[in-house]
Amino acid sequence: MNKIFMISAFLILFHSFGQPPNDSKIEQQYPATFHLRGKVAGRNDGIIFLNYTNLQSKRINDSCKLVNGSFSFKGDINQPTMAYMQLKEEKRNELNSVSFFLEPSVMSVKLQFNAFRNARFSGSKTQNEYAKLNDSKNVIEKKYQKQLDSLRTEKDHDKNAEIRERLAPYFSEMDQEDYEFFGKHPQSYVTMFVMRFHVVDLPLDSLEMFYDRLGARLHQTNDGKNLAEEIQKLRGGSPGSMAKNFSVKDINGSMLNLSDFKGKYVLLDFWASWCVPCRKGNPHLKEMYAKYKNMGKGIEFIGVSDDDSKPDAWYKAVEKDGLPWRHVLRGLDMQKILKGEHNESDISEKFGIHSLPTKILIDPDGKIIGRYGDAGDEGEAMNKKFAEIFGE
Amino acid sequence: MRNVKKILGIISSFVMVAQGQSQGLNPVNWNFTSKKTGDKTYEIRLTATIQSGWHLYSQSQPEDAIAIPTGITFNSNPLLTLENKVKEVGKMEKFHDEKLELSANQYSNKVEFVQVVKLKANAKTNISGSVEYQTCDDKKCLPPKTVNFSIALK
Repeated sequence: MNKIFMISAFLILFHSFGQPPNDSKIEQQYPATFHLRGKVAGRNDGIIFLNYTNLQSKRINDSCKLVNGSFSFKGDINQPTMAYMQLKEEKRNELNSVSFFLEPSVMSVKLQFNAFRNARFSGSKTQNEYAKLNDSKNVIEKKYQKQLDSLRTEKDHDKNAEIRERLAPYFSEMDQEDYEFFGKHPQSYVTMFVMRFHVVDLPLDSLEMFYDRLGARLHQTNDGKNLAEEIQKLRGGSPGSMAKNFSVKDINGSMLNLSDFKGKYVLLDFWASWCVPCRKGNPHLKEMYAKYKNMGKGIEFIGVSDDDSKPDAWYKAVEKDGLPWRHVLRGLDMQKILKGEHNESDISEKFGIHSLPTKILIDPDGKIIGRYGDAGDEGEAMNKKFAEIFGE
Repeated sequence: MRNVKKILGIISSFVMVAQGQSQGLNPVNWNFTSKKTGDKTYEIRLTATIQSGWHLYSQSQPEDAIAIPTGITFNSNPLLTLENKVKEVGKMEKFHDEKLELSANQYSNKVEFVQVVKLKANAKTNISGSVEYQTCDDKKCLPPKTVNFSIALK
């Protein structure tokens, strides 16, 4: 609730800035090369590695010998790209490695031996923005340092979960920092880069708004296209959209068409035999099914399982948990995913499913009216929705 | 600067495969490295750094497990032989749930999958393959993912 409130506050705050500047004004071709020069203070010789994705989408591992601590890299890129720099050492040493944005421009960097994370880059607008975001996140991290350390050292599984619960404000503050950044830097490459990590937690309309504001130039990049596709899938599986139909053989070999259930409510339960949180939730789901299936217009449950590779585990789980509703497989085809091909029969893709369990509630007209993303608070929200529709 | 690459390799390429699935949650970061440990002998390390709260599953699971074990496949390469099995270096946790009657061998924070490789003759080559893995935290799971790797032996 708090999160939604904060997001709305940002939206109001940044809406007053009006539309982003006209795209044609900022449209400019990047040069296709970068030149990065740097110096490591406290270390004269050695070898430094640079790892990035080039113009041809190839992962490049370049290296350069330090001369009096200085080094220089050149390469082909035509958009800002995440890069990783590391000093060659006998043992992998986090102190001498840093992630940053490489931009097609002339860049320079000052590094400190054993403190690469304090690197200061110049010549890249994108990296400047990224550094600013990281600085404000470091402040938050310092505030919670003690708890974070105890989380790292605690080996007990239950205690670990407890510490994590108490760290909820930390995670929320970190998220807020990103949202605030999106608002302040609507057309930054960093905004697009970081947005990927919030596809799961941002409300869909906020996601769409931030995406729109990125502008035509960023929309045309590969990252921009991927983000658009992700948002579109999520839209297809979110309240307000009509549920996409699917026709597939169920666990008993009978044909199941989602559209056949019109006139009734339907709950799609995306789960898997190997998903412990899903299995834990099954007893409660059974209670709900027994209670509501014949109330009012009635409701049907359809379990959509991510068990295509091991149907035996699926049969066993359905039987062991005693789930009396209809069951289908999602239709995952790993080969198609690896080739980047679209798989029309993948039900999870149609509904933009990111994690399990996810439940999607469809009304008697075939319209999605609820989406519940995990077994925590959102499970509670689903209970309320059922009570609201069918009565207690 | 490109010819300074004759190094006991530390870094090597890590290629993430487009998943057609969420990029949103990525609780496991993979890093692939090789190190020369003797004559024609190399140690390959597939290092998984796991975000706090998430688990990665061991290659071997107890009888009453439901988790999908991590699976590592090496593409065949006529220049190479694999010595023994992939070893796991990390603190394995034994998870057990009384109610669901199930167990799991899992890792938090960090685990390394280590494979020793021998070259049949002195040659420059890469070892390539893929890791299939699946992760969960207490409230949710992510569908299995596959990450391809290609590591230079030098």
